[in-house]
Amino acid sequence: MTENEKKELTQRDKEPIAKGAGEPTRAGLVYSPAVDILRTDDALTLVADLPGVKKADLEIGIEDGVLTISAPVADVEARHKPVYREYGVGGYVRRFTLSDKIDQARISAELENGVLTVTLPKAERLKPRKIEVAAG
Amino acid sequence: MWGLFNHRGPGFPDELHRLQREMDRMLGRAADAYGSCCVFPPLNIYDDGESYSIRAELPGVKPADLDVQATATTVTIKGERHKDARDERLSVERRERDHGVFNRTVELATAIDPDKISAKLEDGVLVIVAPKAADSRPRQIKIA
Repeated sequence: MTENEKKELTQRDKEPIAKGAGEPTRAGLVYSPAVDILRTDDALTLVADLPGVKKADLEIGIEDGVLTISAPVADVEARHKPVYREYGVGGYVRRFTLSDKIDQARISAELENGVLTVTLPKAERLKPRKIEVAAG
Repeated sequence: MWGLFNHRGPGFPDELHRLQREMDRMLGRAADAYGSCCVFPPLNIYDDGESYSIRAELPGVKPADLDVQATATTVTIKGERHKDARDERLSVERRERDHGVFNRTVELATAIDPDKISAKLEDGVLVIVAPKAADSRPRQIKIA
């Protein structure tokens, strides 16, 4: 594909999570990040866009089989006066229910350039196995 | 007034579209019908009197994928968000993140000094700081 034929990127709307169920305790807006989930035989890989999130602020937790990703984002608007605004600035929260096929002890995560990658390995006993058929 | 547009393609209708959706949201109408329509990346512009700072959320975009150019009154952000290399190898269960090329030009209300502009990527957010031209900064007028 040449440069001209490439798909133009469009913006998904960034909607703050409605108040109500599970309202955040911190003040300020909270957004649901865009997430891709990829699968291999060995693991599920969860990729989330978290622009503005610093590694130290990122929290990933598992409780009762629910994976929670949450991260506050520093409020730049407290320091600067916005004169034009197209997106809201706020933290991120998103939850995923994990099946018990995931080996929760071996979950790993990496944050780079505002993109979080969480690797959720499948439990050893559930990995597909090739069964050798013995010649008889 | 702020002039914000895409030099290329249907930038102006996109801005109208955004305004329309903003109004729909205020009026409590469902905005979902519009789907993904809008120019990328969305920008926020801040003004501290001395300089503008233009911020854009570009998670996963590396400095090498970005081309930022400036004139005395415009700043252009061009680039590409690449497809995740892992996509080829893994099967996709859920797809929400997008990829593609983008090209946006912002026209600023006051002249800037294009030689003094700085740009950096911080945790997936592009921050462009554009100092205003010396003769367009506000000045205090002494009253005799």
